[in-house]
Amino acid sequence: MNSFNHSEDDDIKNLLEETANQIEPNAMFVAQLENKLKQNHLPKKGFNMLTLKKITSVIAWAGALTVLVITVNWFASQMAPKENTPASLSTESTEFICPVTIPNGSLPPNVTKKSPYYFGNDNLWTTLWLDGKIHVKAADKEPDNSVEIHWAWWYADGLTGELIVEGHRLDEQAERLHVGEIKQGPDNPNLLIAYTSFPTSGCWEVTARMGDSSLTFVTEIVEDEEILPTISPAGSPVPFLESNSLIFGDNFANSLDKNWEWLYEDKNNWSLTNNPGWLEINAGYGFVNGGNIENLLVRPMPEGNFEMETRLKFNPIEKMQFAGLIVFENGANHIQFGHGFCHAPSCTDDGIYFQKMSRGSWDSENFDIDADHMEIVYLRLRRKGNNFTAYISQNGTDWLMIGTHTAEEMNEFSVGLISGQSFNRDSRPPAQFDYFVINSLP
Amino acid sequence: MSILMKIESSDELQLAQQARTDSDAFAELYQHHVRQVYRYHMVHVGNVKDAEDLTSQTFIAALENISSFRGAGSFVAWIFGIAANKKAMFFRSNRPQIQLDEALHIPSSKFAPDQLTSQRLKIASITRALKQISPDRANAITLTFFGGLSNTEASRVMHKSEASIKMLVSRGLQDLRERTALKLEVEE
Repeated sequence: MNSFNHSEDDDIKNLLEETANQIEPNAMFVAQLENKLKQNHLPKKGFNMLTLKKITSVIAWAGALTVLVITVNWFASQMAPKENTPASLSTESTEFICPVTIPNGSLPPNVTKKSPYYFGNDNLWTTLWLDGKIHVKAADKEPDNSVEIHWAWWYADGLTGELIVEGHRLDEQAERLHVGEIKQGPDNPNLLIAYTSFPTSGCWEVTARMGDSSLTFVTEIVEDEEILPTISPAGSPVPFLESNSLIFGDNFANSLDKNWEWLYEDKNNWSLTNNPGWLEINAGYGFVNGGNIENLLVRPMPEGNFEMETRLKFNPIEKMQFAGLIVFENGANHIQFGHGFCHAPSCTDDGIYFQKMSRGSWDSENFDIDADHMEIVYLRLRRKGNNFTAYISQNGTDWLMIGTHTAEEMNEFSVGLISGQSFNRDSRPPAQFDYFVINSLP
Repeated sequence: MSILMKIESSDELQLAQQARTDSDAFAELYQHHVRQVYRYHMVHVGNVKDAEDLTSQTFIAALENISSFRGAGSFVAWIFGIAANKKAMFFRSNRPQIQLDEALHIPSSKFAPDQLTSQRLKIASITRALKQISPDRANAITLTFFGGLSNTEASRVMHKSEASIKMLVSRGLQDLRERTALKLEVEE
């Protein structure tokens, strides 16, 4: 059995090579790190600029990036094929690229937990979006189209004076940044919260000053509502209804299929009408293994091999909130696969989790995977013998394996949907299921 | 244009000498290797934040120690030696958890192209699979496939013979095939 299978080996080689070629560092990160290296190199060339460098490093970064972007734009415009375009149109085709600042993870004073969102130097800190942009929906904007944000700033111990925040738009003429009341922030003597209003969307350069220190960043306010995934009012099509291998299917159109059974039903916390075409189950307090879970929707597990699938929309925000597929015997024996939030050393916070509890004990492997940007995800759980293998997909076509759990005993099991496990009794985020289907497998 | 041209190793040795006092020379070395170093870290840690951290640490350490590079081996082997040390330190330490709610005014981004997510999942799958095989085999695979090193260069990083690297890579690939079902992860 140890024969060397060149074809399969080549498949893995190809997979590794293809994946390696797809990994590209963020261009802004590469540029920033290069600038940082160059700055760190300067003293060795004899420049005595350490103090000045500290004060101006952030400005220099932003300036260097601005120059870089302008240079790249200029270069691109020079290298692009010249067409017989009127001069006025030619000028208009040059697109401004906002040289946004990417956070550097520098930890503010009296903050112990690391976060990639922090940005700062040795004296002032703030937080920025990971992509350098502020994504807002139209509904988030004020009636005058401004964007109001309570902005956090941290300052170093020993730094004195008033915090002054200024900002102006880089890509177009616009009113300057409005900064109102600045208050002491919660739980940290070095934290200030500034009421900040951006008069318009676009590319903004913001500078905060305190004493002789300053921190500058560039951010871009973008409205991206139109590119967000949208949910059709009727849900997605249900092609599975014509499948020969279909064992069971429900597209949650008007009523639940009669073969479903609610366990621990709370009628006030599920709905087929809140988002027509989707079954909504609020993820309330209660745990499968605690025996106090609400609204488990199940049906008997089919004989033989099968796969079940659903499309889930869920945004867990607090610990242990979970929604997805479940294979259930009782609180001590079940397998669950879905989107959840778990903050622990073995977890990845907002993630996809595939967990097995057997005889009251969790299996140590939860196959956690970061679920950022997975508010809507397809989940598939495939049974072959006693093995359950989990897959996820973003488009319902390309599936990726998450892992396999093996069930020790297969007695009176049910299969279905779970939404619950909130630690917070006041928090009930809705989990929405587009459909549920079971297909037989050979 | 010089940035995009392949740098011959003799040129690299010369650049590395110049880089002791010339930031542009170091920048050229950086530009040539940053992608490979990033890929190497990315496939080990499986997330952008830590991959960028480790890439930064690798090149900052290289800059601080560039004077100690004697040119006995290749520069790429030297820089990946630093990268391997940084990676080892990372996995030895207790990695702090990221607390998302600490970003007081950061709303979550709701959209990413499918292909980015798919790519990230593929990387995560490979990261997980590599953790299931022996560290030496995993390291040989990541150095050659993701770091882009030749077997000779990988042998210098890992202080093993070139034949050993070939064997480690070959057996590592077999492990990935036989034990981890990695090939299934792009099925259908």
